[in-house]
Amino acid sequence: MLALMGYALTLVAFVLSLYATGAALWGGWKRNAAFEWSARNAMLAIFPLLTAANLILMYLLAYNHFEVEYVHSVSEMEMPLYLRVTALWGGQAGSLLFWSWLMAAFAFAVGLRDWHRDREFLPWVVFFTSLTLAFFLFLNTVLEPPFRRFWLLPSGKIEAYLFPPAGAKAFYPRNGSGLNPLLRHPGMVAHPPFLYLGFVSFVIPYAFAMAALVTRRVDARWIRLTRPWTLVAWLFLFLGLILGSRWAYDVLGWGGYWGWDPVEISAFMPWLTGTAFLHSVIVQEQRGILKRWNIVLIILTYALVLFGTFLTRSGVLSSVHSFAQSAIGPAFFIFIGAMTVLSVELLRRRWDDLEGKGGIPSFFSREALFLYTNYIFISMTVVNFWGVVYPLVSELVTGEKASVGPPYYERAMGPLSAVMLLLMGLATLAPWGRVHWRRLARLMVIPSLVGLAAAGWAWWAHYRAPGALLGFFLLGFVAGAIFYDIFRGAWARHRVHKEPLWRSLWRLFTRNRRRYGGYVVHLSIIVMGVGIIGIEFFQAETQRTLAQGESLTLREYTIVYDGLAIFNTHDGRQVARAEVSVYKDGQKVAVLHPRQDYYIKDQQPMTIPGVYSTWGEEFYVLLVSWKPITVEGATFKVYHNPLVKWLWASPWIAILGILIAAWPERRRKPATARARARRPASAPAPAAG
Amino acid sequence: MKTPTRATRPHPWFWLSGLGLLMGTLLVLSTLAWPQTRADAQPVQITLTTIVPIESITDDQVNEVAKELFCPVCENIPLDTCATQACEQWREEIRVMLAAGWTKEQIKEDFALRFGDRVLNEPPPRGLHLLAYVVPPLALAVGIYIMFRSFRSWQSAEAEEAASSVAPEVAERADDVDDEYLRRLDEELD
Repeated sequence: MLALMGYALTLVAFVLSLYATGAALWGGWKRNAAFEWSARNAMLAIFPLLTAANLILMYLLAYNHFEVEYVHSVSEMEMPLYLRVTALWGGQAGSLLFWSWLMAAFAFAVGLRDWHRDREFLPWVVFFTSLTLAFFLFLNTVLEPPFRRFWLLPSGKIEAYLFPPAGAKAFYPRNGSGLNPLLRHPGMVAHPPFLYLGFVSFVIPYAFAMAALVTRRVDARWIRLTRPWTLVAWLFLFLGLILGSRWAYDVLGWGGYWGWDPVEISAFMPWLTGTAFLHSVIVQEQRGILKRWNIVLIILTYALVLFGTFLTRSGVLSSVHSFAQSAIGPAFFIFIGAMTVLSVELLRRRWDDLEGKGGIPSFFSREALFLYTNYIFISMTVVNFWGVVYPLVSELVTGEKASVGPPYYERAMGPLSAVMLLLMGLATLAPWGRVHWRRLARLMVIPSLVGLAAAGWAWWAHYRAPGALLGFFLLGFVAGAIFYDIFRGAWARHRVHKEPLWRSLWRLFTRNRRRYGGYVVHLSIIVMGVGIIGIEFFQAETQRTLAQGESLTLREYTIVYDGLAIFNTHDGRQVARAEVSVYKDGQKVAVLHPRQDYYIKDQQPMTIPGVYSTWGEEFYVLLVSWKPITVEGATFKVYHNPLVKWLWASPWIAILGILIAAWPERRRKPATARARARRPASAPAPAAG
Repeated sequence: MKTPTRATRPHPWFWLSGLGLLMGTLLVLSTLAWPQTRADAQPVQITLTTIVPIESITDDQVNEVAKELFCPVCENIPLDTCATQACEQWREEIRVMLAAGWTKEQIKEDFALRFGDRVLNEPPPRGLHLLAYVVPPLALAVGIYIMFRSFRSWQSAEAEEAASSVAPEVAERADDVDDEYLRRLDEELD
């Protein structure tokens, strides 16, 4: 009964999304306000309906309703409650319903905003948001409904249907199959919601961009309206990526944080284009150019959001043939194609309206440097896109799949990242408008000295690979540029306004939150860069089988194998848990317990490392295998990962930066009123008109 | 009203369609040049005679080779980290091959012959697989060209604007630069 209610709620939400799409189209086309508001209200109503549907599915999961096919496929009685509930996004049907719910929440929030000043955008924002929502609800109701139940057919077969077939009886399995062991980790509990939040929030700027095209109101208004949405989308996607990396580091047992897996890349690509978009819209606001490019970027980001979901959900990565057999693959393919064609056609029709008014006067101006960073972001996207797509091209053309692994990506992404860092520093220093290279060169002196100091420190600390030294120089250069620019601003205000330096600093941050919040986000990228350079250039590993009491040395660390315990747990695991003592330069610093959890029912092992972590390095011990009878011998793989902890610290700084940048501005008096207030009484007023 | 310079400039779609055409041509040419499929090739039968004791081959030596191969049965999992029984056996096979004096390249070639190119961690640079290496730099080069052209048009637009403007040019003296900086900063903060 509950399952049926959940389905009914989803179905009503689907019908409402279709209505909202149609009514918004009609209202916008005929300029009929009644239809426009009706469409908005229908869109608002979807969120409570989907909230109820999701809560029902969570209830079914929490209370072990294994008669529901989805619950049976992702849950089991032995799983703890938090995992049973979060199994909502542990399988395909549930995660798609969750996607729709988040999308509906964002649609709800955007629907409730004050539309007074931007009334003409309303129907088209509702149209594009509801259309996207309708597609996902179509998947939830027709192709992948999570509320199907098991039925015992008269033939003796057990099959899953939404409604009971003739003569069938309800079937109640005693237990479920359980969640994939790899997903039973706190990182995986948090990773998908963040990623999905990032994905769905990019739909809102896209909808506004399309509304701007339809209404021909192509000034920077749509960009200003969507700035908080874009920042939030960027942050969620960033956090989703970092959480995914942490999960991989903790669970997959390969000592790294990023494997250039197509699933990772599918989430990385919209982040790249979204970051490019975040920067290039600033150029449009400042200089009135790049209008077309910004629309292209948001269309691309939207398409990549859909493409990422398609890649992970359609089975196309396993094989192009399994894509054709999957229920949702072709539907996704058609929807992405249709939305891209629609968006590009709209762009084509408004091409001339989007002609920029100004220009870029100098190769070294801030706007020019923003443009170069855009080029680098897009180059990175092209490299990643081609790396993901090429295996499919190869399979289609030759019938044989090829793999595109880390060497392909690292070869391209390393140099591109270095150029990106350089541009990041230069763009911080360069002024807008006409800039001579000599002026930029003068501004570069202090940051370059900071960069040299950073590289000098790296040399002193024995991080001496040439690429790493360059990397540390560039990180120092960017950090130097940021602090130099902040100091210059604060000092200038301090001198002119005769206010204390701390107040000047505070005013800088509070009065241009986007710029200085952005600097804080850049600092988080620098911190992340430290971690990436550490692990990419200086990771060391070794593997050996040890008898009890034997030791293994890697760099200044030594582990001694103390013993191994094997035991079964109540949740169906056989755990082999080793105990190793860790010595650094002869001093005992930790006792670690690397283990292998073998999920008996799934016949799947999971390797959980033991990690000794400091800000300077992480020592990462894996139990690879052991001799089951004597437990006296065990094989260990150990990694020395310098500086990797900095990578895990970076998101906290990014959160702070986005909070500063996205914090709502206080409404201030218009500039003319302020100017009038500042003008001395004797000064003549400007002529009217 | 458009200026004559802009009227003669090709539409950006022209360049994009040119890029698409170039990509398509490359794809077709590379497909035609495809020398042979892996299915035509037969694994070379070599008797493995160990020239050093198997026990002397360390796990690190095995992993160094396995790191450059993907698990033949799992999706996108490097052979050195794959925890399945099958992969453990393949790693032992690598150990035997190393003991027999095979080089890393020979072992990779043998795995590719037996399981297909997908076990290599990047496509071998021949035939169609050349596309994997050619397309990104080509696209990047086209990107630079488009950016350069856009730049030129923006600079000419800016020059026209500057010529028609009565505002004096900002001098490059240090004092003026500072004044300009303060003016801009105040403008941004207000």
